[in-house]
Amino acid sequence: MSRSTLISALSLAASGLLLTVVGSGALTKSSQLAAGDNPFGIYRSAYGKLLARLGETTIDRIWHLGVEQIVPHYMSGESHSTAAVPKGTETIVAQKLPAKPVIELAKSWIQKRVVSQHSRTNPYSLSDQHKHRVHKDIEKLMSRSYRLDPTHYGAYNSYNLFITHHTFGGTDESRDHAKVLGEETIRYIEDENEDAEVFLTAASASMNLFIIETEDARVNQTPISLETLQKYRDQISGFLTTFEKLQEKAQDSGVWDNVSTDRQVEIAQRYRFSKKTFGQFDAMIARAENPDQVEATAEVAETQD
Amino acid sequence: MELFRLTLASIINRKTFAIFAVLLIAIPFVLPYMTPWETKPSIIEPARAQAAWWMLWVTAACWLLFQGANIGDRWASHGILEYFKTLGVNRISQMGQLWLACFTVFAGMILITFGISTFTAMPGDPIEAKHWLITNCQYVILFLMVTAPLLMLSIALGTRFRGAAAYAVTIGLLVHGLFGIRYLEVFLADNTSPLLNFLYVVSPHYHLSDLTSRLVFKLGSLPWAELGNTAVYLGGLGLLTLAFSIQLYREVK
Repeated sequence: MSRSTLISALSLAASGLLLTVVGSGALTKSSQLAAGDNPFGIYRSAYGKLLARLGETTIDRIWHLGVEQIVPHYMSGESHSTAAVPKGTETIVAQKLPAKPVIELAKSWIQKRVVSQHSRTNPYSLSDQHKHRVHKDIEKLMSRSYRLDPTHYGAYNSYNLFITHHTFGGTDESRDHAKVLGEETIRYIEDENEDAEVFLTAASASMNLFIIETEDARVNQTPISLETLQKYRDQISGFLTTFEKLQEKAQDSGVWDNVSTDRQVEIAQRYRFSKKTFGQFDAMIARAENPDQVEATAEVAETQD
Repeated sequence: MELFRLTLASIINRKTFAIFAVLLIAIPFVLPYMTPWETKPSIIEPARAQAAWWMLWVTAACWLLFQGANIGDRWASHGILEYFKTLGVNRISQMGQLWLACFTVFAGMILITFGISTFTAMPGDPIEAKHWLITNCQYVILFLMVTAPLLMLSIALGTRFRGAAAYAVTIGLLVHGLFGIRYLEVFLADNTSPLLNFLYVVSPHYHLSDLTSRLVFKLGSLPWAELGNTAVYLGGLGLLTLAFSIQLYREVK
């Protein structure tokens, strides 16, 4: 290497080092050096929504193989309620069915191999420690799905259920976490002005927050305050009204036609469920407003019995 | 500029750039429709810009750095660089010509991404549109400050080692700078190890050039003072990388 090249390299290195130190100093001061937790804007983006939905299959697989210890339904094609064909009658049943096209037979052959690939042959169940590990793995996956799309009904509700339910390792601390989770979910959704579906998630989060807040009262059988009932009734009512308005807007503009029939049915079912659970508030508020009348009615009922 | 013309002709003749060019154009228009956009069609445009920038990063990692490493290796192994040395083309000029040949093709790819991200995803509001344009320009500047020096390093490493090793080192640096540091931060959250802290400080913080979140969530352009700090830091890293590259470069293998 010539002398001039060496000098160029050394001067470049010296100035580079100087600039890096100056730049990193300024970046550290303004707290810009930290990498953050959202590389390439994946979390909460359109692709975050997609990955959260794709993650459901992974969670489903681990749940069925690790917790229920059966072959996942999407692999076997059997639902929980599918009645098994009695032993010894398989041939008779098969003879009565119409002949399948070759392509369907080939698909069915592949499906059988996938089922046998995941069927449990070990006579022993998973140990408690192993099950605990599986629960934690599922919780981690659910947490990731939630971070990818906090507005997704399935991602939020399944994660909330997992951290509040004792069977899955829920503790008092994780219930506090569930409260923060519900509040964060509502915060993410509040400013939405296009997607109707997310307001069903908000209504569900509000209902979960109500359950968490009134848990002690229900356990100790003390009355729930009227203010609490009215607060959550108004909040859930607001979310359901916004859902109705945005859905109507989407129907008018033709956007609703883009949604597949399956998803439309799914959204309609979720809406009906939210409406039904919300419907209980009026009765609870009536009871809270007239506790004497309720007691008197109960006494009359007891006397009649 | 004979070496530049020879290298450029070789790159064009190999045609691998065409595969990435097609993907750079197609992916941003296809990928957003794989998302659940049906209930919220307004997410398509930000998703297009996001996919366009992702593809550019993927092209930089998979095509640009590989080209640099491969050409450095090939030209040094075949005696081309030695031949140009005998013609009086010095080391820095050789490096500049090889770099320019790879970057000439890549500049077209940057333009494709810039065009898609800016003009097919621009918000309707005039103020937001102005911020969108400025953010895209800022993103191009910071992106160049990361990829340009790394290309030089991959060429220099290619002339000294095998192409695969040169590529592995440069892509390793890029991945560490973009993603690895985030994991390091997780370790450092409850760890005071001086070694890990030192590693964190001396690691190349390439993630600073990632402005995708600013586009996706319409955060607006980066304040100029903050851009200046980041540019000084990445510029310094670039000069250091260049200095190392000059030291590593060899005309003969």
